[in-house]
Parts: sequence; C-alpha cells; structure tokens
Amino acid sequence: MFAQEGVLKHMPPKSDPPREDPRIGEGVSRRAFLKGASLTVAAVGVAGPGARVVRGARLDETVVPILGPGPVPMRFRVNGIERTLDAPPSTTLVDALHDVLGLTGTKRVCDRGSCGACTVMIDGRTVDSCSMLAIDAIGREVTTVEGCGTPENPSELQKAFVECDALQCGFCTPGMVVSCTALLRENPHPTRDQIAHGISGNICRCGTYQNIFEAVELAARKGGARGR
Amino acid sequence: MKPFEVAQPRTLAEAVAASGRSFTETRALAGGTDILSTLKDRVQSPDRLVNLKGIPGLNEIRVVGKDLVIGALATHSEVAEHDEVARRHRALVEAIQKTGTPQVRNAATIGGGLCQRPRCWYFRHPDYDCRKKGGITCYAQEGENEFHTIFDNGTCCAVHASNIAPALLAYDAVLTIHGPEGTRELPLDQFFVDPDDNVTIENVLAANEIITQVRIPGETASYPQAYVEAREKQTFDWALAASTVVLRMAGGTVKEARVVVSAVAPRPMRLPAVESMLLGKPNAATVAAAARKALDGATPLAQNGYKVALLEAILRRAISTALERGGKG
Amino acid sequence: MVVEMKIRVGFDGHYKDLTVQIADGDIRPYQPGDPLKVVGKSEKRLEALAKATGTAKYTFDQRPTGLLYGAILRCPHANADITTLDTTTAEQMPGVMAVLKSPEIFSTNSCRYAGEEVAAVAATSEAIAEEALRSIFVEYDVLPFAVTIDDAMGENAPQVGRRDQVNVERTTPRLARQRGGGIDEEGEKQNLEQMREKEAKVDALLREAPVVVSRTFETAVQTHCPLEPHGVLCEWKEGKLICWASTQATFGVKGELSSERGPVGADTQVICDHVGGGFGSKFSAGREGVIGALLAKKAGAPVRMLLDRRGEQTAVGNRPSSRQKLTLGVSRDGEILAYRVRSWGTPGTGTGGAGANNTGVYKLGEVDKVEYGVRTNTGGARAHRAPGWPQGAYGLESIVDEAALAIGMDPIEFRKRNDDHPIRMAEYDIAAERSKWKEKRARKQGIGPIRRGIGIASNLWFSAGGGGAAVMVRIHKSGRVEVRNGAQDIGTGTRTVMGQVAAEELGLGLADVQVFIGNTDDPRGPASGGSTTIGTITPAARLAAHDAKVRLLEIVADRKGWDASTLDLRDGSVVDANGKALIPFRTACGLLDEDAIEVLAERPTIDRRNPNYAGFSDTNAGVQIAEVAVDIETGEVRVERVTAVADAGKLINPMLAESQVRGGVIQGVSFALFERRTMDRQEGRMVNADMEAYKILGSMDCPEIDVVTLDVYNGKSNTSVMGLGEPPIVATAAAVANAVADAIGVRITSLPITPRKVLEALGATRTRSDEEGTKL
Repeated sequence: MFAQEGVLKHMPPKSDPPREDPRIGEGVSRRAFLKGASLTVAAVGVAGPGARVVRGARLDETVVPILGPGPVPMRFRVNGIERTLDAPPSTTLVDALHDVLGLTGTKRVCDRGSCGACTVMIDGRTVDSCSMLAIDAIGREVTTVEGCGTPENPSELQKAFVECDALQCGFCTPGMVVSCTALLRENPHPTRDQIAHGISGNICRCGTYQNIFEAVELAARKGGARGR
Repeated sequence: MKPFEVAQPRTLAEAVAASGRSFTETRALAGGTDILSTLKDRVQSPDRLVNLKGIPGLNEIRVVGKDLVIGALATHSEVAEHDEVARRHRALVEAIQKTGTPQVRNAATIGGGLCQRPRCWYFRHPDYDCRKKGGITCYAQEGENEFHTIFDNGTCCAVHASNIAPALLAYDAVLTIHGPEGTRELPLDQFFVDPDDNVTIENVLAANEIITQVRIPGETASYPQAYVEAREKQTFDWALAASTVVLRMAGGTVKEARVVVSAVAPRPMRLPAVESMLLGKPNAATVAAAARKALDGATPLAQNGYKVALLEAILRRAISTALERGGKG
Repeated sequence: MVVEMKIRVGFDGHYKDLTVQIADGDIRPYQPGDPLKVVGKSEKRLEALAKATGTAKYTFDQRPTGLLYGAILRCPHANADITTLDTTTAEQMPGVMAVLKSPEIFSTNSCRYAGEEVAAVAATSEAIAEEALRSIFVEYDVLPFAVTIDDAMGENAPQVGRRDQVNVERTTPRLARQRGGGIDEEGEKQNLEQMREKEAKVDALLREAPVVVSRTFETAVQTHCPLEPHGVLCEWKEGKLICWASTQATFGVKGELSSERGPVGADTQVICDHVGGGFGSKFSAGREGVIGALLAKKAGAPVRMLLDRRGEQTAVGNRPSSRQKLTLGVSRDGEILAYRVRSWGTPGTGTGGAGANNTGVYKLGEVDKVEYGVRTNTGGARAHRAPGWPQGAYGLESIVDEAALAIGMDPIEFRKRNDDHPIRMAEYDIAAERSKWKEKRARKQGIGPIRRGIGIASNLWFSAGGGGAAVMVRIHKSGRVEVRNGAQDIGTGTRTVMGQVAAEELGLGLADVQVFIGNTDDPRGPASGGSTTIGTITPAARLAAHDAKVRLLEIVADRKGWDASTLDLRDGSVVDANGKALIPFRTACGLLDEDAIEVLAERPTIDRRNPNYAGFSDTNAGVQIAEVAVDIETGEVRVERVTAVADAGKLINPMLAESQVRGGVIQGVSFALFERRTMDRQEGRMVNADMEAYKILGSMDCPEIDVVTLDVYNGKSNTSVMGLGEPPIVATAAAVANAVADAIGVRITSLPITPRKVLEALGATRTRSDEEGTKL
C-alpha cells in the first residue's frame, strides 16, 4: 500500500528540533504517485523544508511541493514562541499541540468540529483545531488557552471564570476561555446574546453557560481579555 | 484517517498539476472543516489533498463593475463581515449567520461551503456502504429519515447541506472554475448534480478543477430579501427547512422574484412557479398560496412528513419578511 | 455505640428541636446560629484557576515517556458471533507494540450490539493504531437482532441474548429467583398472586374514581457524552499497575483491576486529579480499562487507552428509554385515589436498570405497578444522573397535570393536595411567587405563531451520604495542613467542600489547607454516585479536623500550662474561653514534638445499615417551574426561563450548590428538547454516535435559570448536608413538557419534544405513514 513509506515510521509523541533535512534521499526514491497522470517526481529541493517536489509535465519548470505522507518538519508560533515539530501532514493541529508539543490545555473531544473543546486562535480568529491540519498553521500565530494567561498571571477573563464558577468538570473550559477571549477582543462589552453567539461553538456538558455569561460580563467590566 | 500527502501549490496551474483525475486520487483542501471529518469517518480516502490556501488572492472580496466577486477561499466570516456584502446581500449574510459555529465560519470557505458533502448519517457512518459511497442501498429510504429530503428522494435521500448555496442561487451567482483546460464560468444553477444522474457526487466539479471565485451579478442592495430557516437547536444545528427570497420591487410592486428552498432536496431548489405567483402586489392570500405551491411534488418519507408543513411556514415567512423589508425600503 | 443529643433542625421559619442518637465520638451537627466562617461561604473552587488556564491535567493529558496509543476494534454488527479473528498482520506492523483479542480477555466470542469490543492494539501513533485495526481479519456469524423495544417485544422477535435469556423480563415486582439464577416457581406463584390482588384493588378504585386519566408516555435513550472520554492511561512499574483513570470511582476502578478474579489482577494505584465529566457512566474500569492495563503490560510501555467519540457514544452507557402506560384516578377535589403503571424500557442487552421512577414524590393512593426490562441489541445502560428519575418524573408529572386539568384545578394546588413534604410544601410557594405562576397561568395567548406556557414538576432525593469514607488531616509542625481522601472530584466541588469543613474546624481559611484527592494511595473514599459524595466525605473530614484540633490544643495546653478545655482555634489563632487570641496557629504547631499530628477519621455512622441520624427529613426536595415559547408553525420550542428551588440540606458552598442546580436544569432541558439515540433498524447501528447529529443543548438554547437553594439544617450527619448532583435534573424535562402542553393545548407524549412532534401533534403534517412513533 501507498502508506508504507512515511507514516508507518515511528512518530514519537515529542517535539523534536527539525531533523536532518528529510528532502535528502526521500524524494528521489519515491515512485510516481499518480498513475497515468502527467506528474513526475523530481529531487529539486526548492520547495521549503520537508517538501518533496513534483514536476508537472505541462508546466515545464514548475515544481509543486508535496508533503508526506511521512513526518515533515513544521514551524509555527504558538503563544508567541516559535515551535518546531515533526509530524505527518495528516496530523491535525489539536494533535500537534496536545500530543506533540505537550500543550495539553487544548482538548480533543468530538474531533469533528462540533464541540469547540479544541478551540484555538489562529491570527486572532477562533477555529476548531481538530478540523485543521497542523501544516495549515505554518507561518501563523496560534494562541491556545495557555497563551490567554497563566496561573501566575491569569487574564481578567480567567479570573472571572474562577470568580463566577464558570466551570465544573473543566474539560470544555480551555476552549471556552479561548472563545471568550476572542469575543472580548472583538467586542469589549458584549450583550448576553452576543456572548451566547460567541460561545455557540462550544459545548459544556456540565451546563455552566449562565456562569460563563456572568464571567464574560464581569471580565468586560474589569477591562476584558487583555488586562492581566 | 488514511494517511495522505498534501500538495502545497502556489498557483492555480500548480494546483491543477498536483490534482489527479479522480477523487480517489486527490481532493482539494480549503478550510478543511468538512473534508477532515469525511476523512476521519472514511467517507472518502484520497491519497493526496491539494491545499489551495497557498495560492495568493483566492480569498479576496471585491466589486468589479456592478458585480460583487467573492474569492472561493474567503471564509464565511470574511464574507459576512464585509461591508459591501452586508450592504448588498442581506440574505446571504443571514444564511451565513445560521451556518455552523463561529469556529467553523472562521475556517470554512465559500468554495468549500458549496462543495461540502451531505450530512446524511448513513453516508457519514463508516459501516454503511450507501449508494452515495458506491453501494446499492439508500438506507435512509426505509430507515431513519426524519432529517432527509422530501423532494427527489427516489435514489438518495441526503439533503444538500449548504446554507450559502441557496442564497447565492437566488442571486443568480456565477462560478469561475479553473481546470486543465483553463478557466470557465458556470452559472451556479448548473453546478449541482441530481442523484438520479450521478448519486456519488453533488456537483459537476472534476477532481482537477477548482472553484476560484463566485460572482454575483448586478447591484442588488435595493432588492428586498430574506433567508429564513427552522431548526431544532438554536445553537449550531442544521436547517430542517430553509428558504431564500430575493425580490426586485418598484413602487410597491414585485417586478421579479427569486425563491429558493433548501434542506429539503438533494440540491437547493429554485421555484419558478412560486416566483411567478409573487409578481405584482401580492397580498396575504397570494403569499400563502405561493408557499403552498412550493410543496407540489413533495414525496415525504415515513418520518419527515412534518417537513412539508414546516417548509410551507418557512417559505411564507421568508416571502413576508422580504415584502415587509420592501415596504419599509 | 450511640449517644443521645438534643439538636435543632430545619430551615428559616421551620425549625424544630429533636433528641437524636448520634454515633459515639461524633460531634454535634451544624446548628442554626453556629458562627460558621468558611462553611456556608461561596468559596471559589480550589482547582478553578488550573482549569481556567488549561493547566489542570486530566487522564487524557498525561504524557509519560514512551507513551503508546491504544485503540479498539468494534463489531459492526448488532448481533454476531466471532468465528475467525486473525491479528497476524497487525502484530507484524512496524510501530505496533501489542495486540489483544477481546474473546481471550472476556471469555466470549459473542458480540451483542454494534460497537462491542473485538480486538485492541497499542501503537506508537494513533495513525498506526488505526491502520493496525483495519488490518485485523474478522469473520462473524451474523445473527438476527432487535434494536428497538417494539422489535424485541414482537411476536417473532429474534432472541437478543443467548441461551435461555428471554427478551422481556419483569423487573417490578422483581422476579423470584433461586440461588444460581433459575426462576423460583413457588416465589413466582406468590408474586403473581400479589400482583393479581393489587390489580383487582386498583381496578375497583379506578372504577369508582370520579375522574380517571390515562396516557402512554415515552422517553428516548440519552447518552452521557462526558467531554473527556472513558478510559485510562496505564503504566506498569515493578509489577504494580499505575492507572490514571477518567473515573468517578477511583476505588471502584482499583477494586476491579486488582481483583484476583478479574483479567488484570494486579496491585493497582488509581490516580485521577481531574475528570472531564462522568454523569454516572464512569463507575467502572470498563472493558477499555482492562484493555488499557493489559496492552500496557504486553507492550511493556505506558498506554493511553481513551475512547474515540463513536465508541464513547455507543459502548459506555446511556439513560435507558422508557414507555410508561399510566392511569390515575382522582376525586373531584383533587385527591389521588389510585395509580396504575405498566412500563417498559431497554437497558441494552440486559434487563436490569431500565426502570422509570414514576411512583416518587406524591401520595398516590393505591399503586399497581408492573415494569419490564426489554433486551435489545444496543449498547448497555449505565447509571445516568438520577437513574430512572427524569423519565419517571416526565410520566408522572404529565399524568398529574392531566388529572388537574380534568378536574379544573390549578396544577400547584393539585400537587399540594397530594403532598406533605415539609420542605417541598414551602418550595411550591417560593417557586410560584418567583415565576409569577398565577399571572402567567391565566394569561391569554397572543395572535401570532408564538405560544407561551408555564409548567411545574417536583423532585425528591435521599442523599445524606453513607459510611465507608475516611479522611486524613495532617497538621505539620510548620503549620501546613493537609486534608486527604482518595476519591475524585467530577466537577461537583468535592475537593473544595472537603477543604471548607476542615478549615472551619481548624479556625483557618480555605487557602490555609491543602486538599489532596484522586489517588487511591490516600484514605478510601466513595464513588461519586447517588449524590452521596458530599454527605459521605464531609462528616469524616470535619471529624478528622476536629480530632486533630483537640490533639493540637492538648499539646499546646500542656506546653503552655493552659487548660485545654478552655482553648479553641479561631481566625488563625489559639483562643481562650473568651475568644481572645493567645498565639497564632503556626506558633502553636511549632510546639509539636513530633513532625506532625495525623488523624484518620472514618465517616461516623450508627451502624452499617443506618449511616445517618434522624434529622429533619429523610429526603431532600425540589420544585421547578419552566416557561416555554412554542412556534406553532415551525414546531420550534424554546425554554425561556426555569425557576428551580432546591434543597441540599446545610449549604456548605452556596455558589457550588447553585452551579449543580443550573447544570441539572440544563441537562434536563437538553433531555426534554433535543437528545435521543437514533438506532437504524436495518443494520442495528447507532447512526448519530457523535456530538452533532446527537444533539446537545448549547449556549443559545440556555434558559435563564433562577435558582433558590434553601439552607436546611437537616441533622442527618455532623455536616447536615444533602447531596445535590442529581436532584436538579429530575423535574426539569417534566416541567418543560407541562409548559409545552400549557402553551399549545396539546400534550406531546414523548421526549424529546422536537419540531416534528409538535407539528405532528398539532395535526399539521402530511406524513406518508406514521405508525412508527418514537424510536426507542
């Protein structure tokens, strides 16, 4: 089967510095992928880290970077810090954050974009990190719950979550905090309806919604998500 | 998920070059919100995803002449928040506001929204080999079908899931499609494929074709319009029935009407017979009759008869809302 | 060993003095007027900041070196026997470190529902584990199946179980059985005789009753869907199993995994710092726990064995369905004379645990209840937040409302006529007043499509706690205080309230004590079930802290030459009889000769069977009023407001108590309007095993919830507290259903109340054939 090459290699749950450039050796030995398609494999390493390249016959000098299916090095900023890791391109962002980088605040729950437990911000906008490939975060700014505040230096919103008991089991909380942080950055004084809209992609099974509304309102009074 | 590789083209030409001829070889990756779910559920398992996000310019929203042009990679949020979209296309904005969750709207693209696969729970279940996946049975026909189609359900009962498709259809939107032979324009009306013609796909797009933009012709800001849907949950749910109405009015008279119903059929359905009933000065009785007319040909299944009454109510509301907005404007 | 004591019990305006027997060595229950400083205060949850910053580590978050990922292959057929199971390919795959066959662990090759475990692997990545599962070759002997109670109860229904298991089995009155399980013919003869007598008696009363109402109600299967899936992370160290478990019963999991009779049978330590929800489904290690432990053993490496969402929604529990045929006979002035119940429910492949508790709360006159469990080829039921109660309350409260309507009596007056609970009688008035019941009940509907309605329902619970827990309090020479118990906190606030009662006793603030829970190497604690945790743990914590205080004060008195009997701890100091501060707590601790005072106290009980004292009330009570808006053209229902009056005995932490009530109400609304497992009858699979097609209430469907928690000095234990996890969910769906009936004038006879059902009830549909009704 096609997958023999890359993905079956051991992918340890750890964040490694970029290994030796995996372009070397891998691309050349690889057979052409699309049978009958006008694609050939080339070993021209101009496509950026970790990419093999495919030449389109009709596009004489054009090469298309192809990642994977084995691990490829990735680099993106998480909470203001440049992070690198190796993972197959099929790795979702939540798995890269939680299992590889050890940023375990971001939870994988439904794994289908229905529950929001894996919510992170990409360049300031919330997304479900289960429904995004890690490679799509390359070159972008990722903010997880850990980037919203720390136990030593919590944000006003996080303090308000504590104050208003806006959590029970706490498993949805990181996603909720990220959604509410993004909401307050866009709209420092949201109405209750706007808060409900803002967290409409986050399910809390314990039923803390009303407490979360109150926490966001309290945080808004105290200066929103920014104030730490 | 089956392991796959990802092509990172930087131009449309590269994207086409990196695409295969069949969907078992490649699928386009845009926002990812729908396709990743289908890969995890093994609804489809291409060997490669062709990632369109590295191609510059595909997410632009701009006015060209009288037309509004939305890049296919613009996200639902970018479209709904765009001033010119809000000014011209209130129904589209209303449709987007009812789509998915904030997180989904921030990631899901307009092109992806048009191409998303149906939500039918048999289709999405890894252990059902339904007709849409190449099998011989539509399990919904005799099975659990309370959320399924009430029209054209002889072959497959999955509803077309898109909220934006009906709205764009009501504006006569035109797609720009790039493929091996170059670029072509296709009216959105001709984009959808009926299950009786080919049940395994929902649209005419080939594996090596890419929607690059959606053009909405003409200036429609003054057209009274509305998108109305009903659903079980107000928080993130799929429509049980929805309708989009766009009117061209002058002096209190409807000169032209566009009526599209969705979440009830394998494609968003435009209803010319209903549209013609709305011309002139429709009163409450005309509106009611028009909404009833939309039910012609409905073939509800064992569990979704309620959708017929629901559609009628939703359509009546959409028409009334549009007319009201016309009256105020 | 007991002592007699005079105590005051009750709540504002309803106090009384009792002479009660309490366990020797215990201390007087909290009394009205006690100058409590930490208990009764809305202290912040101790772990709240860790949770709000994402630093709280759950089982899912543990990352030991060399971690492997476990995955389970599940049977796609609803009823099948495994005939071939070949894992050779998987075993040879690079990255696969262990493979297990389910029949070899659980000694059966039968799969009786779609989703039952077949095999499992541990691999170096989840992707490899998934590929390995796909490579496993299985052949099944596929058998006929039934996944709805109608299919299982039909004439030629396929046999769901094996051997002599029948599909339908009586559960109330319980079948008389011999030792070993066979039917006790003699006992059954007596049962049937008694049932016939009861039936005849109720027949006669119903014949004579001036008004009789009868209706069949149904509720759908609800899944727990905790956000953290079931499972474990297991690691073996020198023959000992270290098991991080997502559980609501650390000691239960330990017991199962360490049992000699079980498939693991090893010395086990269970750790659970935080658990992402359980709601009744996480009492057991489960097959996934056993699999995780054995995979880790075989692989010689730590294994994370947590379920994916499909497995979670299919295989690890649900609230069973119910079909309740209810008949109520009442007098013209509203006295309930007789009540007949025939009910059925499916708990999956077994027959137990599917009862609908539809005989609670009111004085129901003569009751004739017969109930059956129905086997279906579906995932098994587990306790689900107030097992049996929300579905039973929906039936009972609906038929009660219909009776009130039939005799033209206000539903609250009708309930009061048939109730005498000392707390609930007050709660009716509070709820009615706060919701403006009279005014809203009398209102006329507007002319638009929106109809508004208001409805009421009641609940009771019995959660003063029980024996079996022990708490250690350790006061260090440095002044550091530890409070330790090995049970878990599932989000109810156990950790915090345990700290509060200990701090109160030691005259300290909550921040001055360190609370340790969730580790079975600490003193034993209860499962978080039956809402009994707080009532079980806090009396032990209070007594341990009290005894530690006595020891400390004795030492201080000895060293300082003071009279120990005049000393106490208050506001961080040792104080004299006049309350004057003598020395700070920390200084007092410094007087210890040894490193620390350690006191282990068990939860005081009079005896095993009678763990609680004769207090104010054996049960805690609640009343809820729901207000809804129904769109009669689209069938959309919104719950706009819920007034919830709840009794949790003595409130240890009012804010956390209110959170429990809000959470119960929200899950209740979700059960009322949205949630149902949908089973495909063609192939026997759950088609909505996710969090999207399986619909769970979200922020925009959240009603405004007005919570009133009464502070009831119940006197059932030294902390007087009653648990509150379950009671608030009991009445909600029933109140919502009654409000919908009030709004549209038609009763929806099954949950959830969806647009489809509203439109069908209003006769506005064109259904081709609708003989099927709700899927159960």
